[in-house]
Amino acid sequence: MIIKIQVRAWVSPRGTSGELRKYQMQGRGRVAGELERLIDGGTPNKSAVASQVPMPPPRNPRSAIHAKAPVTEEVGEEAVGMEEVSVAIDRRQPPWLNGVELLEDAKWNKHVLPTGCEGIDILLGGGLREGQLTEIVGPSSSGKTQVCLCSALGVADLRLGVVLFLDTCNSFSPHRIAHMVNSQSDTLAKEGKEGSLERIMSSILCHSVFDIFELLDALHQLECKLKHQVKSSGNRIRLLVIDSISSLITPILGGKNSQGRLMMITTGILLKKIANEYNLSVLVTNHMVGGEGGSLKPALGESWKNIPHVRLVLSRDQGSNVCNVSILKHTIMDVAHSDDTANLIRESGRSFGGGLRGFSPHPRQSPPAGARLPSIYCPPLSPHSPHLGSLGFPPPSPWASLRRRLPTSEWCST
Amino acid sequence: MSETSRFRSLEDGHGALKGAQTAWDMLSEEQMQKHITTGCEELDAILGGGIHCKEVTEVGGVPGIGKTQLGIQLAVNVQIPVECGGLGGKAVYIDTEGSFMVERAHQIAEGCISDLLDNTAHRLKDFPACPERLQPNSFLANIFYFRICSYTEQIATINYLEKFLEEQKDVKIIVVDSITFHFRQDFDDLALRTRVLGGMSLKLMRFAKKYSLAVVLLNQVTTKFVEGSFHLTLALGDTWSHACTNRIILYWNGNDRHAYIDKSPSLRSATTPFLITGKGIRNATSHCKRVRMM
Repeated sequence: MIIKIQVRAWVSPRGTSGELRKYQMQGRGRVAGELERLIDGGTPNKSAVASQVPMPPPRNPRSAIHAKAPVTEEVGEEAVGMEEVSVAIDRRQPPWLNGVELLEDAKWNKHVLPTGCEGIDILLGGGLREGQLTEIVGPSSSGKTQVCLCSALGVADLRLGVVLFLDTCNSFSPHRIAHMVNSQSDTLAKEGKEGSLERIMSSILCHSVFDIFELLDALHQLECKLKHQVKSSGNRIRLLVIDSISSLITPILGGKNSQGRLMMITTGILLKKIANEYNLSVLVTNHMVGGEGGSLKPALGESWKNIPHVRLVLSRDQGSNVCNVSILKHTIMDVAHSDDTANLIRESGRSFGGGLRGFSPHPRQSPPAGARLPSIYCPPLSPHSPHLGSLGFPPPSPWASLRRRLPTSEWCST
Repeated sequence: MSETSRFRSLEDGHGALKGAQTAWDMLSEEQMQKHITTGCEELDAILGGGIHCKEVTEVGGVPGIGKTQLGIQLAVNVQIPVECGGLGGKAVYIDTEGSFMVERAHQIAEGCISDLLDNTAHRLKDFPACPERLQPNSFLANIFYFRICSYTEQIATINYLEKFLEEQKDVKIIVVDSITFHFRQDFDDLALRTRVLGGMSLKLMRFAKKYSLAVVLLNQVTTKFVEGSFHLTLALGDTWSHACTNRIILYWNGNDRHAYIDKSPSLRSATTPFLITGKGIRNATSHCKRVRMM
């Protein structure tokens, strides 16, 4: 009995997948394959697994706790006995990690997922980090959804895993992704056009959520699923996109009771928990509201501000082809971080013009403090790249001509 | 073949999230989906075939530009029978301003029918039931009209629509003319307004997805003071601008009416002229008319 539990506990998302990767890295593919076969339930005698393969203890104490769950279901009436066993496991595996273990965890389990958009990848030092919550903030039609679609495509295209897209604005556009795939001519040459499109599109899952309860429900379902999805590390969910989280939270926020705020924080904590424990990268979008003095600031207020690990601000000048991205907050990188959000945005607004010229496409270059690099180029620069720029951004806005047409007195009527 | 089966197993492995679809399935579904024509082929072209179902489209512009005309046109065009390449659906028209003119709707329906008869006369011969349905009155009978006189009524009606749509499965478009009107009158608490509107837009999104229908919201313009000058923008503020999937702006360019795609996740920004004629919204250039004659 106890041996069985030990095996279960050791087949934890952290320990196993990390160890597997380590084996593969060292060129011992055969061993890893053997290990995988055994874990997949190939052997009837599970105690043999424990004796044959020197399994490392789980790196994360929480994953050990989770691994108990299926066993409890199986045994049912022996639940009381299970408590004792879990205490025994806890004694063997203390519920904390030391720094070395954490570093190992970060090294083997927290990968960086490319966003498929070079500028953003360089700015973030590689892309979206697993285990972290990244937020994209920007005014309407500044390219937030495009970054989300692009990142989803990036992860699916490189066969990294499955992307789960939670859509609140009916803005997930498979047509747009197909268009981006078709404009990548190099990958299409290798595989058949249809085949690669189907492969990419099949590893992007989309689910519509229209209120906060549905979101929480979906996240709980996802958590349950991830708990039991230990072995299939090849097709595991790597990226969770929520576009946009603010449209779900805005209707419940404010007013006299603080229940809305509570739900917002609950959602944030749940997202961070899922991201950390199951090595997911979470990407959410948020919109902007007018702050003091007419300047724009990210919505959802101060309490939300410290939930995301990374905050990116997108902006696009009226009638311009280039979208700009700047880092508002980053937990790891050395960014001149200012508490005065509005100030930072205004500042970046000033330096937009020079951004493109100052940009160096060297991939190893680490961005300077407070870096503001243009992430998206206009079509002529990169006609075949999956950059957002290949969208072909609009001609100058019609508002300009509207303004000219109307005498001043008429505009001020409202 | 083996490739496909592998994808299937992959999907099954991730089927735990109920109701989730792969992008591949959504893409094939989207390619099957018909769009609601606006009557102007050039406008349809920049919209990727017309107004899309399952999406919320906001249409804004200065007074007199033709927002209501477009709304009525869409309410009529959604009823073009399937045999003639339409959706054969019904329309819900929520009127908050009292600008829906039934005589005008009748006129547009007549125009739509006469164009249909011109274009698809040869096809209609195979469907003898069609001519009876192609009467302006039967078109008008399939527009469900709600007249709203306050914002409370508006919220109540949107909430009631859930039940209504459950009964009327044929409804393929909801036109709200305009979403703004009552919310710009006597609404002091702007934070409350934002919340109410946010909730309303999520409800409309849900209808669009669940019943596979198009939602068209008409909006007014307002002025915004930015960096020392006045700009025209659509009303209801920044938060509202995130609430819809697509945004189309109608504006004057000289003496011509133009439409501009301001925001869309899938369409590129584009501009096209359009005309409002006695028959409804039509092409600005006569090029396509000649094609039609042939």
